[in-house]
Amino acid sequence: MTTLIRKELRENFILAVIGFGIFMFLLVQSYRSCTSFYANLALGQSGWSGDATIAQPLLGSFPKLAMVCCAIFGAILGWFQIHNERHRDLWAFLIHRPLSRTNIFCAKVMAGLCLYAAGAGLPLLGMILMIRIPGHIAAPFEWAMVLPVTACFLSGIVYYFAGLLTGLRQARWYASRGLGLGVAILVSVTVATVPDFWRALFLILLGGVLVASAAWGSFLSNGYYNGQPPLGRRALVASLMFGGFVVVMFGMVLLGSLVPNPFQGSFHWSRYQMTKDGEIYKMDQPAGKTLQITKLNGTPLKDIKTGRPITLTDFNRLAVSESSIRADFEDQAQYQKRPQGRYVETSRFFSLWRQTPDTLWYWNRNGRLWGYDLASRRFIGSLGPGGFTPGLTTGPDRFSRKEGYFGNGYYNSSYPARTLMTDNAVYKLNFENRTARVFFAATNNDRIGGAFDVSLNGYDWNYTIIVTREFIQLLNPDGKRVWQTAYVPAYPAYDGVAVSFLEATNRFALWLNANGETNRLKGWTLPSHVVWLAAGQGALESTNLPSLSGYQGWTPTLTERLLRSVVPPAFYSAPIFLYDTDFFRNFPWKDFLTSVVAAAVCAGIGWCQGRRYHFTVGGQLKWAGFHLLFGLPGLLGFLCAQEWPTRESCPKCKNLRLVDREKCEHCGADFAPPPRNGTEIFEPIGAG
Amino acid sequence: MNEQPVILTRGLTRYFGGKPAVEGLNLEVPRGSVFAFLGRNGSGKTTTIRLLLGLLQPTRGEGAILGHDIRQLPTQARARIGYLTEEHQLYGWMSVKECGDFQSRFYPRWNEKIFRGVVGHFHLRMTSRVKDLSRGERAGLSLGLTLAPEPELLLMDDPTQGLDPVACRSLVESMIYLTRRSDRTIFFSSHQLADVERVADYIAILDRSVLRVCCPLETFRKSVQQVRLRFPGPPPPLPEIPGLLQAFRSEGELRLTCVDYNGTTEQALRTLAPVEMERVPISLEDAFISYLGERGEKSFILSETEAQP
Repeated sequence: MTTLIRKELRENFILAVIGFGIFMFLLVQSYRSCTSFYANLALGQSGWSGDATIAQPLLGSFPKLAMVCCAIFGAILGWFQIHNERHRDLWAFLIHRPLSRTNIFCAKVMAGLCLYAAGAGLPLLGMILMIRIPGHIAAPFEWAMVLPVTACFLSGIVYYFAGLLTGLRQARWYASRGLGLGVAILVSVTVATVPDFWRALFLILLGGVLVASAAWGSFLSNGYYNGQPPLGRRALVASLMFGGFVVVMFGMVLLGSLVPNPFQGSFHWSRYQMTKDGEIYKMDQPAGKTLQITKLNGTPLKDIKTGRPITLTDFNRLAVSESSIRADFEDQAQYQKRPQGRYVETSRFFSLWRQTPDTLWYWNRNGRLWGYDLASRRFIGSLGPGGFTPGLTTGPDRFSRKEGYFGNGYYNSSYPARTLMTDNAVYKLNFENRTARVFFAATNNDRIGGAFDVSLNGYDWNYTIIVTREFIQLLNPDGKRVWQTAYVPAYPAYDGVAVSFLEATNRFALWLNANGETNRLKGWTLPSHVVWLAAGQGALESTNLPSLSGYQGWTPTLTERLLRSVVPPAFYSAPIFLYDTDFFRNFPWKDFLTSVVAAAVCAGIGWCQGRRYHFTVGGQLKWAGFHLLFGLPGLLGFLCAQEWPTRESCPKCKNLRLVDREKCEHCGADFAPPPRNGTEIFEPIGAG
Repeated sequence: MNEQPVILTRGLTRYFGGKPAVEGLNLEVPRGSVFAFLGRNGSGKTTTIRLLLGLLQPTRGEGAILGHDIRQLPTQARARIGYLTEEHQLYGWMSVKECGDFQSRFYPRWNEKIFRGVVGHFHLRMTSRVKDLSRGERAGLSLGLTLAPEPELLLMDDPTQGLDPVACRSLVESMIYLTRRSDRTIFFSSHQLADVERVADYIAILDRSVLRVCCPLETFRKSVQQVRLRFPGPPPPLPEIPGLLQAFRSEGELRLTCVDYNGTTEQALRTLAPVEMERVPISLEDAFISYLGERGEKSFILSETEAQP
């Protein structure tokens, strides 16, 4: 086997070199664009949109590059390893030797994976190590940041096996030959969207084992379905089914875009909106109809000039400026332990907090601001409630991060947040002096559940809303209280806090909205509470508004309907594992039933096809179960995998019989020997 | 000769799409024989060899090679079978020596002397790259790689295809004289009928995917015969003659090639009332060509030829 491995390595070495060269070139280009970006920032030649992925290529450009390059390189390498020897005679030269085909396959795979690691892994490893060395990238580094790139690299192995399978399959190019790539594509898509690395790893392992088994089975049977071991056959059918799924989804999107759409997709929702004068209106958007804006008594709001119902554009001019915050009294330590975003997202690790002329400040998930010098691209120290330290601190000297609906990663270059909070105080940050000063402190028994800096013009800091367990208050930038009101109705049923800044000077409205989930469980009976306030006077009046469920749904388009109908019933359980969704609460029963009906039709077609080709009853039942689970993609996998034999007329019973059976399946007659023409010369061996 | 055949097939059939490439093949190859497998292009020879080696799965039927089922040929059996392919495709980037080294590591019975002997016979340099070799040289190298493991059974798929006469002769000589041993069986397909005549003990002929001949060479030689009939004028139309392979009509003459010429055939021919009827000696090559060529009647009478569209 070592001989074969050596031969494979030598034969395909050039591919690894080419792959290495191209990948390295692209990674270096990407790295250079990152470093030149820092240089431009330092020179003040460019600003920053706030997209933190630019700062750390391990979470930005590298995973994207790795995803594309590893996929292409893996697939090409796998395909070439077979294609090089696909000539009939060369294939025979390879196969016909005293070595089991499994061993030959293993030798190929081992060599292939080594080449893949050399071509795709080495450039990535080199770049990771370089980024790890201080002075190259002015952004935080953690080894966990390597995971997205690792996942992309490992996904390439699935493409490698898919390439092998594509090279091996005895099928037409325009038919099912490349369907194995569908598994790899699905793995890539899911790997990029699942929340955790372990899930991604599991999917890669699952996809890899599946396609590798299919490739192994095909290798054993020279690319045919018949003659494969049961494991290979099952893996092949499953691979083709997943490939079929990708094709079907693509086909449905294409069909949906070509056919005139009888179902206009639209949101339907309803909510309250306050105008600058403090009046409240109700906005209703029924499915597929025009938006209705009415007064609370139901009278449509009309344009004063035209007398017609007001348009959304005109109404938006009247709407008041509003800032929202979601109160959260979760324990700070618990909050910081919880992953903030998917493993591929920058927000899981850090977000850009502030850019000063010479320093980049990042919010780190451990609750401190990390500073990086733009010129040297080195870590300079961190800022916490206790002030600046040249190193990292592991003590309790940390901020919590609950500044509003935008959550982690919120950054606006023209309006950066000025404050950060702990459970007991809000701190005003001064980046020039690298200090944190107490801006607001909660009383002994109180606790802070949220603080949010408000800018009415998008540039200046006008107010800070602070929510504690007992009060909601508005402070000006000097820390002076504008108003304060009791937090009633209280947390946790009411966690949505919004402040409307009315046109009249120093007039405000405070909205307390019920938590969506709590309200849903109570049948949307919790009203919205509105309080009108004045600076220095506190509450002027208040009212309760009947609950509106807000976003009520989306009328699906034709494409969406088509897509939902072809998702196999078995796939409806996938989100439970992939995304931790509340399965039964959000289960789309209507779509599922459509999918089951479509699967039943497919099972019927599969059954007819099975009867036509005289499958055994057991075989028929197994396939029917498969089709019921996997619907149209399953049917495609079934049709693509099987080699449907020719049927000929039986000379005895005249029925069409399959040529791959020893006896006629209708009458049991043997195949007649080829007809004689009188020129035959046969003599029994040994007679001479 | 009464031992178990080295190759045995029963109703072996392979379809490609809706077309049978080999149909109902019943073949027995005795141990120690040189067995020629003949047929025109596309008659199913290569498919048969590939089926025998398990490189293709049969559509139906069964077969055994060295006593092993062809569907699941064990690795030990493969070590005992040498296979020389049609186009002698090898790894172009390897040198002659590297090819030998590569192959030798898989075969415990590898005989370096044989390899060097065959390679020397074809005047190949050990350092030459395979991609730089001529077709004939590549064939020689392939032969060396096939023979050096000292296989018990040698399957050769038209090894002389595309070679010039000298290379062809050289290959056949090496193939036969270097390998002929009483315990070694050689099964080869070829279009070089002269070589077949020189070396084969048995022949099998595939005609459009169907086996029509399987017998000792001598039996074939005796079975195919030619008769010349003379007539005073144009020959009369032919009645149905059993075993007729070809008939050539010319002015006053009819030349017939038949299988199993016997009393019944002679009686049928006498009804034509020829003025003269005689058996004509026929070479084996002519017999092959008659057998493998177009069946039926051909006319060399000028007026009839011109009348044809």
